Amino acid sequence: MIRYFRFFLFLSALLILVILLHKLGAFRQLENSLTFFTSRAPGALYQAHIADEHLQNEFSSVSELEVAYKNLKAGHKDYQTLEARFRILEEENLSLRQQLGFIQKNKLQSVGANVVGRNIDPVGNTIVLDRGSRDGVQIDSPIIVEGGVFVGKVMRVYEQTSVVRLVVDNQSKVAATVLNQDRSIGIVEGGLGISLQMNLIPQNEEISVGDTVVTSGLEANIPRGLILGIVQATEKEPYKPFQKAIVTPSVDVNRLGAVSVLLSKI
Amino acid sequence: MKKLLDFVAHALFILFTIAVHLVMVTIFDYPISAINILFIILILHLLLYESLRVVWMSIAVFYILELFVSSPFGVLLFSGTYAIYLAYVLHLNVFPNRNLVASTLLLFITLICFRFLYVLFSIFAFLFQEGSPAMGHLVGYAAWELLLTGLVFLVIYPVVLHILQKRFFIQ
Repeated sequence: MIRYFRFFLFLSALLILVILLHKLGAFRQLENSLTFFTSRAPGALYQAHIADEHLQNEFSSVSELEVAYKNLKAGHKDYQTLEARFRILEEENLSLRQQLGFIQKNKLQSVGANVVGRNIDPVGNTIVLDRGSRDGVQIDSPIIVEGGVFVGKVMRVYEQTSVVRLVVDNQSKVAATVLNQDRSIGIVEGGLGISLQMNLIPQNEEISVGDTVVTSGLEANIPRGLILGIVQATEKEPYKPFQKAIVTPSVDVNRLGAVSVLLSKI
Repeated sequence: MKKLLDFVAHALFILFTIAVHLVMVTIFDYPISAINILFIILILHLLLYESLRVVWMSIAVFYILELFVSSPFGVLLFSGTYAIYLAYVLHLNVFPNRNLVASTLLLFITLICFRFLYVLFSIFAFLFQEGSPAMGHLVGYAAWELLLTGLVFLVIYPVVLHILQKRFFIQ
């Protein structure tokens, strides 16, 4: 038994040493290579999976799918596959144009990235991107999709890979503004499953269901006006100095395929 | 030369293990994504080879996974490695045979220990940094993880054991 305990102590010391060396950056090169190699195979599969989901969304019921299947068998297979691919490309193109339009309008510098992994930690909401410090990505760089919808912030950066904490993660906090008459400010936090919670909104300000919530620009690196979501409900207690709002994100963050990383202002 | 080849084989095995785990959590939706392939593979390795090498492998596996997660660095590394070391000790002293029931029980105990240590180290880590661990979702996740991982193990363990016994004459 003493033998096991002695090894346990040795193991603990070793793990502490490993963590210290990681914090000091001694394994930086090794980590860059490991993250690159281990994320590429799942990344390719994830991209194929997202494309497949787009294809499945073409049909609203099983019978429709059966009809389409019979049609395919009758000789339209190639045509329909090509058409589906064309639609995916069209959607992607539209999404990227919207992202580009927002980026150009706001004179922001950005880099496009593919999502190559997600939610590796059960208690976290994260995605892994195929862009890293080599492409100019930095810690806290904001991630957007479509016409400037904010989906998260970079939390770890490696040479060719980065890890993003999504806006719905329980540790995510973003300075936000409600587009109401008072331009109420507050903090949007995750941790509510697929919804967000906006806290620290002054009690005397009027917030309505349907108001749009955007980033306030009060936070370093995150420009003003990135869309966070729509107010779904408000919680107002007369004895509390602040009110809360439940916000529904504008995009499904669990189905992200391509995103843009905002680098810095030109 | 043999040692070098052995090292390369183990390194590739570790990368393969992580790739399979990443594919599972990335592609499949919850609760299927809760299947803990890492523990199935590591426990299978322990049962087949009964070597302390599984602990060194678990350090490498959990270290690489730490690079992708949002929890404070070290939580997964400590909890995962300690759980596998406990499995090693239990296998040598409490469940020394390789029958299906004992092996599945070993996997269950290891997973429960892993999640318990995970919560413990998360609480400890958040004492030193801002934020709080999201534990509400973890209970349901751990239940699904235990159930599905156990089921997958029950299915694949006899098959893997049979194949390896035939192929490599493992006793």
